[in-house]
Amino acid sequence: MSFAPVVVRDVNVGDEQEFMLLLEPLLPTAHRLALGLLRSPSDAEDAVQSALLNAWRHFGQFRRGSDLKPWLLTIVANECRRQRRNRWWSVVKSAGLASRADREASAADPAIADLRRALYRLPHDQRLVVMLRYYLDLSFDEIALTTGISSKAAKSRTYRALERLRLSPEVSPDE
Amino acid sequence: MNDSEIRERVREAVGEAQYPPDLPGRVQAQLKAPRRESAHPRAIGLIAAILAIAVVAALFAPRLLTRQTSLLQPAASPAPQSSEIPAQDLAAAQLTAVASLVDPLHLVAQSGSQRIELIAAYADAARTVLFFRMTPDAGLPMASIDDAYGFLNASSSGSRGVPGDYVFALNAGPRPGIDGIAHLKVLITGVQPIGPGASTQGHWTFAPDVHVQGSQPIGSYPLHFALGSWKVTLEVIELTPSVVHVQALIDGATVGDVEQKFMTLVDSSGHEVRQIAGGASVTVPQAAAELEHVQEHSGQRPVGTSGGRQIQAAGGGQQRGPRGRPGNPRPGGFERQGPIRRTPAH
Repeated sequence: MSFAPVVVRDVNVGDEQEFMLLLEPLLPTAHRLALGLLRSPSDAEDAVQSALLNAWRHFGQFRRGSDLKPWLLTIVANECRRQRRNRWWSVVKSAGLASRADREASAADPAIADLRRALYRLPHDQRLVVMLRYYLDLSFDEIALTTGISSKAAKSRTYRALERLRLSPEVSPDE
Repeated sequence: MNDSEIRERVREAVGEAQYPPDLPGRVQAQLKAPRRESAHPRAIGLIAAILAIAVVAALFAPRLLTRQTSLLQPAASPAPQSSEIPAQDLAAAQLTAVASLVDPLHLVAQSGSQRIELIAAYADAARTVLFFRMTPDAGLPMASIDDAYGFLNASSSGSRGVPGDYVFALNAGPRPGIDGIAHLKVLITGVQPIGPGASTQGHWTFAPDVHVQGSQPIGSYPLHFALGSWKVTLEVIELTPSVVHVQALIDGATVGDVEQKFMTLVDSSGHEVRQIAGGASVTVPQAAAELEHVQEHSGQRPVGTSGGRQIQAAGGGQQRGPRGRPGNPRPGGFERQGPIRRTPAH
């Protein structure tokens, strides 16, 4: 997945059409991230919509000349975290549907079902870097921009998550 | 394993995202009417919501509690001593009134420099509550719980007791064996500080055996009634030693209708019962391909009251009243009192 920078220089912050023109190309990426973090397609749609609304409300604070994508992905990730956190009202997946999906996955490949369960038991920060790296194909520099940590810390966090998932990575010399 | 192989496995595990083509349109409509953000309808013809409300008995009269718990506690359950559990921890868990039903434990797990002790646990049909002691005090442990039958999938909350102690409450009860005991597996993969600060990662596991307190259903179910355009099936109202647990299936609600607190329990004197947790998910009719569930937990238990109990929801209200006095519930003691009383929507 490409991550060509979308740099915002001059936008009328009061114009939602202009805002949507800017962000619409990023929505598939945002939706993909939300799905990876939340698992449920409907939750992912909710999260993207809420994130876009937040982005719209705070677009005036966006630093002009910066890349829009990491900014948006950060908001989406935060919204996904908020959805999973201690909400008075929280959406949980139907046990029946979950077990059916798990049964189907287990029938296909038990290792994949195990990996799925392990992924969704990772802490949010680790699941986020795994999704950014391996589901959205971002570089560690891009992950660093999105998560607000250094590139080195992003690598370290990703490798720790992979160890927990029992997916031992081959670390190349340049990393 | 190289990056490509990891990527392939992660994608197989997560599945490919089906981007909804109407999402930009919905977002734009939402931007134009931001106040309606929570009321967007889903593209599902029929949406049903299951609502569960748990209400804690903060005002529970001790004498009534004694009588009630004697009915609810399994005969085989020994009376555990909970003197070692700080009162502040019990209060944080809304379990002060049923302290004698909390199982003291001394299970310790260490990962890196973080030591976590599971000092106590409580479970009933609606809740699973774990008391943790953190050394050092790094914050709230993020736990997932399995019982003997699998993962307990429900919303959860956390709170703080005495310094270093944290309460983790899952809004679902474990499934006990025939001995009334649930064999749990608790996995903690991270510790989240209360307030700013980085989370601590690690791997702590516990395998506590916890008595599951019984519940007392009020009335017979299911009960069906209409609430405005909704068709409501009241599936459960039950008393556990600590909470009132209400679960309903609502046919016709949208996620926007139920994602905020929209249902309240009021006692016979008209006072709202404090809700401690709630959750909702959307589910799908059997004839359709997909459904969701809405589930909620909240509350406080109106014990010592008599007469009717009202459930009020957005769009109207419904009054139900137990025939027997609370504390003396009996099967079938829950009946409709005349026609449904509608109240204006809030």
